[in-house]
Order: sequence, then structure tokens, then C-alpha cells
Amino acid sequence: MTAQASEILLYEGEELNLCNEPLELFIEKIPMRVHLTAPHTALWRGYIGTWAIEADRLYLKSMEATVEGEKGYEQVGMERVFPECPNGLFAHWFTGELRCPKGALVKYVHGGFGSVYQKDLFFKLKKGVVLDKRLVVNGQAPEGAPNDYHLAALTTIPKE
Amino acid sequence: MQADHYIWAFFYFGLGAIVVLMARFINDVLDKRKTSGNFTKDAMQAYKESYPEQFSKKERTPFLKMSYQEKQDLVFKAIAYLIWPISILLLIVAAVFPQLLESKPMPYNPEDDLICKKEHLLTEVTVEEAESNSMVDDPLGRTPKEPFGHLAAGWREFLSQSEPGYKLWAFKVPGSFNTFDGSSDNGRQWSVAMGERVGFAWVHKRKIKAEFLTEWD
Repeated sequence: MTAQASEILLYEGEELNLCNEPLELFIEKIPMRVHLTAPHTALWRGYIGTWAIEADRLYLKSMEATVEGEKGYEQVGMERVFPECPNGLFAHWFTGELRCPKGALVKYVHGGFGSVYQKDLFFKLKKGVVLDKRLVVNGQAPEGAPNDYHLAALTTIPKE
Repeated sequence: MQADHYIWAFFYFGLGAIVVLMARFINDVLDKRKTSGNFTKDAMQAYKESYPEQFSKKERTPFLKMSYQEKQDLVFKAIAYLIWPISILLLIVAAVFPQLLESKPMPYNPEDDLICKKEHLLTEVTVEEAESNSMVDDPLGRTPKEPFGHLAAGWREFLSQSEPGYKLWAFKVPGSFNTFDGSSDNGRQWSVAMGERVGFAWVHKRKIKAEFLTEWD
């Protein structure tokens, strides 16, 4: 078990860490042209998506995905993964809550998105449209705690 | 007549107590035989030395303060003692014919792989009705202008799975709340809705044949 690298959410000029994977089931359900692969144990899903909330909607703006090329791992973007939507795609399938941790690290958990940060900003969405948001304060971070999203360790996966 | 009942009850429960104690003794002896190797003994000894608290005699907990599991165990043991002839018979059957009490593997059911179950079905709809409500309102114009937008290919694939007699149903799998309650969750005190799924399913003779998800998290 390893803490996972977060997605990125651009919101009101801020770059937030997004601890959800809105693409997860989409990638499972839609036939993909490329086969994504995990470059290391902190990125089992094989990509980091950059999302944005624009016009009160959740859009995937860009992504850095890893595929296995002939010479090893290769970084590819939207134009390779979603060639029909090089300008991004509206996550109209997403109904649920997005969580963006903020502030310093209160408690590190080496698995998934389990670590606790000082605050969590939640966005409630229905069919990709933002309905509501709320900020929750979790607690105080110990002195000297990392002030941003933190991954303590990862293991690189060698190409087969 | 009344006295006869007491005598019969006395013999029944008395004999039951003796038989249960003997069964327990035989079970302990058989267990010891099974684990008589030196390695096992040594390992058990090492474990006992490492975790002495697990082997120390526990104080009896009053019934009202017992956990649900402990109460359940106690009630089960009491019932097993009350019907001890049947319990002993079951133990003998389990020892001699273990295959009789083994659960048989369930046959594969393709419905098990689907998220939608019968209880999630909402209403029967036509393909036209489903498509007319599925156009995506995207002010930035990045979504294909066809039913179900980016999911259109999946919808077409789903439609192709229809066979004569299949009915289209809308379904909704309710989500649940993942709740963190403070001290035991490193200070987090919030709930987050998770797992809601919405979509359509092909249904034939009360069986779900295929599904298409339109909303998830």
C-alpha cells in the first residue's frame, strides 16, 4: 500500500490537490486507444489529470499519462489518450463529492488518499455541475509538518 | 407426574453436561495430537511468551456488559446445550461425513457482475425517452452533441446488446455516507456521500441482462 499522487484541480486561480479519481470508471467503461501503465507505486492509475471548474462545471483540462513505449515509459497527453477531445472533456458523468485537502499535514497515512490535512474543501456535484461547496477544518498540524500534499515514499516499477 | 418431569429434566441436563464435557475433552485431546510436532509446540510457546495477555485468564464479563458478538456466542452455546443430543449428532456427522456439511459453490450467475440489482430498478422507459433526456448541457461546447455525450459509444454498445423481449429500465443504486467521527479518525469529522450509480439496464423475465452507467463518482 502506498499513498497515491493526487489529481490537480484548478479553482479560482488556485491549484488544489484533488483526492478523487473522476476518470476511474470512465476509463474502464470506454474503449481506450492507449494502455495506461503505472510508472511507480504512488500512481497505480497511470496518469495525473488536471481538472478545472469552469462555468460551474468540472472539466478535465489536460493529463500526463504513462504508457509503455519501445524504449521504456513514455509520457503522453490528452491528444494521445482522448484524441477526440484534445481541448478537454466535461465530466458530465460525475455525481458525488470531490475532496481537496488544504494546509499542512496533520497525519500521514501511507495508503490511497488517506492522509489528513488541516482542511478539506468539498465540492458537491450532480452530473458534473457544481451544486455546493464546503470547507471542513480537521485539526492543527504538528510543528514542522509538510505544508503541502505529501508522499513519503514510492517504488519505481521497472519496465517488463 | 410433576415429580417425574423434574427427574427426567435432571437426567437429561445432567447427562447432557457429562456428554458435553466429554466431547470437549476429546476435542482438546485430538487438537493436541494434531499439534504435537516440536516446531508447533515451540512456536506456540514463543507466541504465549510474546503475548501473555492473550493467554491470561480473563475476568468474567457480566451479560449486560458483553459485546453483541459475546452475547450471541453465549446464547448459541446455551441453545446447543439445551438440545445436546442434536448437537452431538451434528458433531458426529461433521466428523464422519464432513462433505455433508460443506457448502457447495454457487453456480456462476452473470447478474452478479452487474452493479444494478433488481431492487435498484426504477421505471421502464423507451430508448427514445432515455435519449431525449440525455443531451449534455455544456456551455463550453466540448461535449459531443449526441445522447450521453462522451458516453455515446458505450450507449451504442449497450443498445446493441438488446434482444427480442428485452425491456429498458432506468435504475439508481443509492450511495452511502462514509463517516469519520473525530478522535479515532485523526481529527476528521465529516461525512461524504459515495457510491451513487445511475443508469439503464436491459431486463428480461425479471433478470438483468446488461447495464449502462450514466452517473457515478
